[in-house]
Amino acid sequence: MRGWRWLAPAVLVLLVVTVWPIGRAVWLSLTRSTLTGAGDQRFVGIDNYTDILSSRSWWLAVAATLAIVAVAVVLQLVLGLAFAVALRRLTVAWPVTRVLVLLPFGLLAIVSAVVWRDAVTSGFAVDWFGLDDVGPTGALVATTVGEVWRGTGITAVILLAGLLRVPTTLITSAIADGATARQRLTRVVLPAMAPAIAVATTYRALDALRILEGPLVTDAPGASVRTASFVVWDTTFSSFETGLGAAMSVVLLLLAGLLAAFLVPVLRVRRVV
Amino acid sequence: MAGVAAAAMTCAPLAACGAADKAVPYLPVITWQVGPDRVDAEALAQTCNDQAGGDYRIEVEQLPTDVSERHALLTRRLLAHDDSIDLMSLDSALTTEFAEAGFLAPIPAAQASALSEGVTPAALAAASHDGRLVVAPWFLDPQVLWSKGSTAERAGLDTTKPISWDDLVAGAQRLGVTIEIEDRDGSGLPEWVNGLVAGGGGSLVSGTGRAARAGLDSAGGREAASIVELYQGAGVGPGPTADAVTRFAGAGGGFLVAPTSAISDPALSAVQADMRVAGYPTVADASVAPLAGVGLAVPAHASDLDQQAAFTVIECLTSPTSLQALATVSQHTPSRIGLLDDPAVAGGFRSAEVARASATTGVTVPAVAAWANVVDAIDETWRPLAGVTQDATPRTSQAEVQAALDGTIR
Repeated sequence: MRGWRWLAPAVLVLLVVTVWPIGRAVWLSLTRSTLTGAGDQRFVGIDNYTDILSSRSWWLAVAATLAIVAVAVVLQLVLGLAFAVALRRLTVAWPVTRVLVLLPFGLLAIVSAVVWRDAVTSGFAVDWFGLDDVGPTGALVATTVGEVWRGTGITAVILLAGLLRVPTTLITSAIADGATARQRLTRVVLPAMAPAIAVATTYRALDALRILEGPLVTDAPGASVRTASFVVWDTTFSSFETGLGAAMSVVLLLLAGLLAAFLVPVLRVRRVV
Repeated sequence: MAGVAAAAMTCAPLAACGAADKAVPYLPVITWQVGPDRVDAEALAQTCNDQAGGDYRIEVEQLPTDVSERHALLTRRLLAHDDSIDLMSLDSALTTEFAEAGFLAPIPAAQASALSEGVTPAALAAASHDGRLVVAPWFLDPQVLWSKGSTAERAGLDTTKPISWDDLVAGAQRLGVTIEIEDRDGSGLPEWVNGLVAGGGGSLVSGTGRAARAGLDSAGGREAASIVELYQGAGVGPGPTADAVTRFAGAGGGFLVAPTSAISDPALSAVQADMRVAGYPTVADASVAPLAGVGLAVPAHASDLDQQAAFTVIECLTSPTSLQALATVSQHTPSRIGLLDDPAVAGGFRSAEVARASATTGVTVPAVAAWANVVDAIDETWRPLAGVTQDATPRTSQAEVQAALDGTIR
């Protein structure tokens, strides 16, 4: 009982900032309501959900989002690992480089998206690569690359933390046992830094799942690729269909939960250290 | 915006104000939100300010050019009861949505009859909701066909009567000139499609509210798509574009489908004197011009004093003097169409005869609250124009427009 007294404020704050808004969103998702239709709100049960789940455009948006998540996460992991290995060897410039790799992450996502979009529509990439009109899809690809650029630094720092957990004695023992470089990487280093990889993968995947800024600044009439969070934004804040938008955001939340539920057990690697 | 106690500002030496402080005159400052129309709002506001003699002061604020951005911004600000909006130049297409949302203060009965007098039925309908005037009708421009010099004659077209789209496209192709279609704010394509469907005997949307039905998968819809296909296939222009006026003024420009006000655009100053006007091109022998305009609306959330002042401002902006300026300077077609017969206007309005006819036969966009979403649905299914076919587009667009009307996922 005494412990509850101490916990109560924290639980209350959590309820206010998390459960209440989500609860309201769930309730709103069961209604047909628009921001401009004052008297138009009515309870429709799960109609919004059946609309969404049977919509081809929704699933196309989800598929596009998952493709972006997969590409962005893999690229960030590979590049992040390369950076982490390099950073580990740095000694003199170490304090500066630690800040430098995190700089892109300090940039607002919307700023990064605008810069990368402009690079392929009117900026340097047009001249360098002789690009013609890349269209909204090409611009979306560019902003996704921008997102990879923005997230690689933070991924590198997380992976570096994991890399530093690998004791040098373990490596020297492996060398003494005659392990090749590849064997040392796959049998010693990667398993030892598995928790860091799991954190980086889950964090970056969930971050990429809600990608909005890039799709927002590259959308154009007739655009063939749209992400799920963009569709939620468009429905809620452009079409003002708040009931439908709330239902979409609940579905997106469930998708994020499913993704996490898939990634966490898959990435749970046996600890060797 | 809330009123300002002007005297408090001017009575700097306290002694000079003395006991008169109790009777500080109330000077309402009316912030007028204007869109991207061609009206010289600053000049009109100044004229009204001068006439007001200290009863009010109008300050002009510019809304975004893009129709979607303008709609989103106004909606958010009105929902938030933003008190920096006292008067709006409201797109006629938004009347229904904003009236249904309870955003608009109805026009007081004492003013309503005067504001409705002599107004065309289309303009009156575009300013009313549930039989009540909620917007002061101001101007409703029909789209017309502009041409440069003798282009039409050289193309073998008789401009004394409306020309069919088929003949127009063939004529432009023969001369190697373009047919530009103006789209100043992103509503050009939906208005074009709406006009073409109506010209083909159909209706883009019928019914109201959630019971509204899309009418694209019909003979009228297919007729509209066939004309877009013909236009695109002939390569006589890029379709509705923001720089249509500039392109028309250029060497390759031959025809311009645009509102009556287009001729007042500074980009046309070099060719203005040489421009000729004809009725909107016909689809199936019928010339149904898209009608779009602006009305003056007062937000419902404004205080009584500010509403009262805003309605007084409306009286000034709809006075014969203001409407004359609207017609002769910016070439907008006044909703009070009889004004075109006024000798003071007749000489200065370049498309009077055509505008008068089109104002009665033209078509406004459907009066549905979901129009802004229908605009998006049409943009998504009719762009790029190269992808439009009379076999597929009406059907796919029908589903999207219906989803926009129903409020379901598109």
